[in-house]
Amino acid sequence: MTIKKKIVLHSLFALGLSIVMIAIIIFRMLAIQNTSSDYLDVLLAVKDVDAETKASMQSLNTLAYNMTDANKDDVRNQLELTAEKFSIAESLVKEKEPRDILLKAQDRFFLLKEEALTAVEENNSAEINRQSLRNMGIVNDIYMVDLYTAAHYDYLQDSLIAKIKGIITFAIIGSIVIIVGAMAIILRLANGITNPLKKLAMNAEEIAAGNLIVEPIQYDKQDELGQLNRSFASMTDHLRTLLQSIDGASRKVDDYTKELEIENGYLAEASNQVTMSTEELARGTQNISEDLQSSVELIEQMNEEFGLNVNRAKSSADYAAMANEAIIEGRLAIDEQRELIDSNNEASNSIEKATVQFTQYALRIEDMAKTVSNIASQTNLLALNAAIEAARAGEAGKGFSVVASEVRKLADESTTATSQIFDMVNLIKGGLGSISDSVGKGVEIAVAQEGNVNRTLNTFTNIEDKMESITKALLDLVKGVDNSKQFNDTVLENSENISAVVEQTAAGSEEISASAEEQLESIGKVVSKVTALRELTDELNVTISKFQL
Amino acid sequence: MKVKWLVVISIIVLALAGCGLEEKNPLEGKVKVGVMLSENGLGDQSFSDLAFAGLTKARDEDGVVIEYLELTETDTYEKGFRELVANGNDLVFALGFTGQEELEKVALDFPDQQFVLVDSVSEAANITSVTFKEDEGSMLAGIVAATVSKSKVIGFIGGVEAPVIQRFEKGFIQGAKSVNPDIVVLTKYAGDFDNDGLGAQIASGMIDEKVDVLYAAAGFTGVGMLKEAEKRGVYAIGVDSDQYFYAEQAVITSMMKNIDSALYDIIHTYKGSGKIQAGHIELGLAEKGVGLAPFRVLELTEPEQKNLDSLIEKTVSEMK
Repeated sequence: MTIKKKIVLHSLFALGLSIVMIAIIIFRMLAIQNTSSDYLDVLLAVKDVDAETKASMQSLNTLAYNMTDANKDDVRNQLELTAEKFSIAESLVKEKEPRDILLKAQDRFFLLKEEALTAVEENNSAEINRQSLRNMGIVNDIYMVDLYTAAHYDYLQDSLIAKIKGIITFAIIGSIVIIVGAMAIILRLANGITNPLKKLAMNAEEIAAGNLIVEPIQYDKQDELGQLNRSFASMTDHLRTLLQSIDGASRKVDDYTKELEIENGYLAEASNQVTMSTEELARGTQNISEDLQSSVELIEQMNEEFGLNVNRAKSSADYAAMANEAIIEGRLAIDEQRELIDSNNEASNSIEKATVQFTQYALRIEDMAKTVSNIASQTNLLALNAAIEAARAGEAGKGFSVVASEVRKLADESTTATSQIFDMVNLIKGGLGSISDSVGKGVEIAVAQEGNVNRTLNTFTNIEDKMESITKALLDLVKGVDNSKQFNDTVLENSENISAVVEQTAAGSEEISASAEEQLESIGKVVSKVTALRELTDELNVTISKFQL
Repeated sequence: MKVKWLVVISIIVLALAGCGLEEKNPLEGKVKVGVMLSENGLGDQSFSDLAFAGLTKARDEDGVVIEYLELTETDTYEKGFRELVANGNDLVFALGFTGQEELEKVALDFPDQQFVLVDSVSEAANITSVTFKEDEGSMLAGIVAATVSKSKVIGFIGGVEAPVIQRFEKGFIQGAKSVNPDIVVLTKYAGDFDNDGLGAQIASGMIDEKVDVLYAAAGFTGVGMLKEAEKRGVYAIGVDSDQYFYAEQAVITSMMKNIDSALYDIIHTYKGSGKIQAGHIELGLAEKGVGLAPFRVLELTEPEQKNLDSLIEKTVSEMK
């Protein structure tokens, strides 16, 4: 149900209740009019009966003491009137008790009337008086009827008041109930509308303050609020998604900007380097140009030198031929030297043979010396034993002990002499060794000399060959130098061309340098733009960071 | 939705409420008394009218509710008593000894019902008997008769020769003698309460014997006597109630049994305390149960009047 319908229905409900209450009040008031209006007639009829009965009593009484025709007529009329009043009352009084009494009184009255009329006809005043007095009873009966009817009337009055009070009470309480009920219903309705609205407003405030993490409101009814709530929820979701994507994009832009800055830095650096390199290049080109100038000059000098060198090479060939003759003379001298070396070698060999024989003699001496040494040590041992035996023999051996000690002295001296021989032999052996070595070295040197002579001979042969080649080469050189000179001219020409090109290059380099500077300037601008972009991104980040996503 | 239904139900409940006022019985809480009138019923200008007057006074002054039945309506006293009991009367009055036997029968059947028997004595526990000291009243009648009489011969007519009636005679003679010890009192018993012709006849005879003041205790028979006295131009004294209206030229006063005030007093007491004195109540001059009706017809001289007044006063004060 929509809220509009709800409000209309609730209002109609309260209105309907009010109408129902008013209808009840009207219905009750109509009922009051119906019940209360008629009964006064009953009371009056009863009062009439009472009055007329009393009047009958009076007129009978009057007649009893004043028997005139007028009084008789009066009595007749009065009795008739009273009877009429009785029948009127009888027709009106419906309640059981008063009606019973009334009927009884009516019976009594009719009897009385009958008897009274008879007495009137008979002019029986005592009887008329008696009948007059009998009205007292009827009066009492009417009194009773009146008691009942009055009570009933009071009851009707009371119930009228009670009903009026009831209506008033009903109206008051009903009004209160309706007001309270309507208030409760309307409050409920209003709460049903305003509570979600309040929550929505709070959520909206939260979102306005940047908190997108709001608790969604549980309101699933198919009314305007439900639509609003759902729209609000999807709006929040969309907003959140949007901000999240903006945030992501912003971060990416941030990252890109940083990278771009770095890249720009590199680019600027590279540009600087390009500029510098270009400048260096320009400078280098300048240098090259200058160098080329001097090279051209040098080449020109070289050209001149080449002319001189041709002459020098010719004279060198001449010197080479002269050197060849000198070399042949050197060969002859070396051949003589070779012969000398061969005779030296023969002498050395005879020395070597003699030395070997001498060495064999020395070895024989040594063997003999060793034999003597052995004898001496055995002698010493024998002498020691003899001394020990002499000691055992005691006094008998004393003499022998002296001999033994003398023998031991001799042995010791022999030992000493042999050791001296050994030393001598060793010295001889040493001397022979060094002679042998010297002879060996001499042989070796001779052999080496022979090798050297041979190498020298070979060298001279080579030199001869080389000299011939040199001579030949020199001649070729002369020719080559001439050719070189001609080449040099060509080179000179080329160098001049190169120089012109280099100058052009230098100019281009300067232009490049200028362009690079412009490029650098542009990069600077790009950097500043990127910085601005970054500042913007930072601002955007700050803005987004206010939102809690 | 609950709130709505609550409101609807409240309205319905309210609509239905306030309709339950019950009609009160107008007799509720009121003292209710019934009287079975004697034979002649209303208009007898005697017991019935007096009793009814007492009840009417109680009705008008104390707000009690009264009911009366006549023998013509009920055929027998017993039926009348039973009807009065059935109709819920707190007190049921019976007048005279004529219905006494039947009253006692009914009283035995309703031992919790309070009955009052006027002018007769019953031994039943739930019947309170109220009698009047007729002798005391009759004494006053005798004083008046003796005072008024010129011939010094006065007459008394009794209904039947019963002790109750003889007490009238005795008091009458005593009163008359107290005025004039030499006075002659003629006495005659008619033997009938309901024969005015006989009453007239006896009276006529007495008048012939110089009786100039007549007094009777003989019911309707006595009415005949009153009318005869009027016819013959002598004085008469009424009995029980003020009988002036029977013979306005003869009845100088009446010996009153103040049944009306007696009944009124009993009802008044009952209304006040919810009970009445049990047993036998005798009402005399002292209790104002008996007395004289207003003087009419005759005009006494000043000394006569004074003498009469002092005699009556003396007698009344003697009784107290």
